[in-house]
Amino acid sequence: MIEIQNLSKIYEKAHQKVVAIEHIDLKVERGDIYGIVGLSGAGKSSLVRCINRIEDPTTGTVIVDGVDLTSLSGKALRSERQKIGMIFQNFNLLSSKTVFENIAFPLRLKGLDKEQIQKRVLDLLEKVELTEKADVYPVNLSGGQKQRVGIARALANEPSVLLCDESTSALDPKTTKQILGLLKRINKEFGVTLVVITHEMDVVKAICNKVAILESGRIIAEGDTIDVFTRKTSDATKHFIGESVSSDSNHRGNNRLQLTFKGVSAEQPILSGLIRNLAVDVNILSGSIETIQDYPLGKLIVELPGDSNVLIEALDYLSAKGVDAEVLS
Amino acid sequence: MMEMLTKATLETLYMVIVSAIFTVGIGLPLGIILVVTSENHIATNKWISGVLSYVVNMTRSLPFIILMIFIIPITRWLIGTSIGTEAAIVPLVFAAIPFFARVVESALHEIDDGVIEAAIAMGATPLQIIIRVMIPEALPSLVLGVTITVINLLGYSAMAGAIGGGGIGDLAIRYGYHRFRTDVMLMTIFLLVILVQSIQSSGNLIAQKIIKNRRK
Ligand SMILES: Nc1ncnc2c1ncn2[C@@H]1O[C@H](COP(=O)(O)OP(=O)(O)OP(=O)(O)O)[C@@H](O)[C@H]1O
Ligand SMILES: [Mg+2]
Repeated sequence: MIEIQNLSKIYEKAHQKVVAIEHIDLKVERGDIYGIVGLSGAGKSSLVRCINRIEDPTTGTVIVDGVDLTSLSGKALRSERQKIGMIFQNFNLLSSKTVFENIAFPLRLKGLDKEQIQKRVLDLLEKVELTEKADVYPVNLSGGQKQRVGIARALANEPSVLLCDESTSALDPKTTKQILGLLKRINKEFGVTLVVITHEMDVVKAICNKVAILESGRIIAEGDTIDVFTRKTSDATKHFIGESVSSDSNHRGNNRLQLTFKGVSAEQPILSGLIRNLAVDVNILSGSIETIQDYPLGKLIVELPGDSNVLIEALDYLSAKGVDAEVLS
Repeated sequence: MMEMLTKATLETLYMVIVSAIFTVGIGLPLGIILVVTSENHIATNKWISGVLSYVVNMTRSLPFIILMIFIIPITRWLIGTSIGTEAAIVPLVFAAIPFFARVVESALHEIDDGVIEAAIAMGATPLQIIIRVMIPEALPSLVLGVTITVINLLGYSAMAGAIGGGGIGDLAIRYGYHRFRTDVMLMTIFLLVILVQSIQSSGNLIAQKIIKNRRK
């Protein structure tokens, strides 16, 4: 659906170069909800803005739905852009137009006739549950309502791709949940491929089936969300995905392990089996369970007093039970 | 005296209204070009924006009275004479265009970049962005900009009286100053104050109305 090859973006300002994106390759399949996470300044916005060419890439190609956008200009580029919806952190609605007119805007640009526009906009208003706000101006809407108008506007042209740049970052947790639910529904019901830019891991966990972690303009980890979260982690990705498990490093035990339970293993009494079968002690240091895409994922940090034989036996036992174990010390 | 004052007021209104129409008609596109050709905008063009900006600044740095005399040949070429109410309109328009273009420029620069970006993302052409996004979004500021430009024109039109342009300023100079008619002087001042006040209030009213409408 979206294929990014060797993409770089270098900003030049007053003879100073800022490398925002460095040689990125990325593939988003049709129907994906692809999360791109990273800290502020990592280059997330630059990356997404290169996808619909709001920003011109310095090098590389971007292919959306089989069309190489980087080779287009003028009219051809504009008509391709109409197939890519985009929503923004600050909604970017037209304050001079009503909700109805904001949603109708992309259709008017295309010169559709009145009846078609009326029908399509009313349909979209219903989808985002804002029918009664049709004639209201954006100043009178809450953040969540504004974003729903933004979503309806982005969907007006029936795009195959929807780009979301920090689309929930200006919203409170409850509204965020609503908007994420709406995005997920759009993905499921209309088969729209979503690219979700965010600095919040929770957004990725909630809706993304794939994720790429961006740092200083490079992708440092990518893959299925569940894998990226369970994978043995490098230091770089740790502050993103390991944030919910805390371990106090002052307490130095002999064999410290981080166990990751997913799927079936999360439902079996693995620890008691370990204690009984190997006759070892297990100290639980910390633990958490979170839901990634409606999929439970347990993380536990434990300590096994004893020598390295104990450790090896325990690792064997755990891997036989399908538990991912990482030695921390 | 009433007759004199009425005639002068009508002349002034004629000068101001006609030159305001020309000023907006030419200054608005110029201001738009100044904005869209500026850096990181929808039709960035260093050359056009540089040259235009230079010309605007140059014209604005001339005092009106000097500009008026300087462009007499152009006035003669356009109107056929350099004296009279019509002839006064030419320097008025020349002086007001660069001022108004800057006013338009700053009004349009106030628009949130994100809104323009959203329009680009939706595949809008530069012309569509100008007409359907930039002008409507900046409309209240543009209306206020027209208002101060008209008030400026009123001030300049008084000076245009010096080249036989007629109007209130002419009356004040000929009667109030040269013939020591204090009553005429006071009346002209009174008239000017009334005119400026009513122009400003109507401008404010329209702008407020637009803004209020958008809060519905
Ligand atoms: N128009 C620009 N001109 C110059 N430098 C820019 C421009 N836009 C972004 N940058 C720089 O490029 C780098 C990446 O910025 P970008 O906005 O892509 O990051 P981001 O991950 O979206 O950050 P945030 O979470 O704060 O939005 C930053 O160092 C930023 O300063
Ligand atoms: Mg950003």
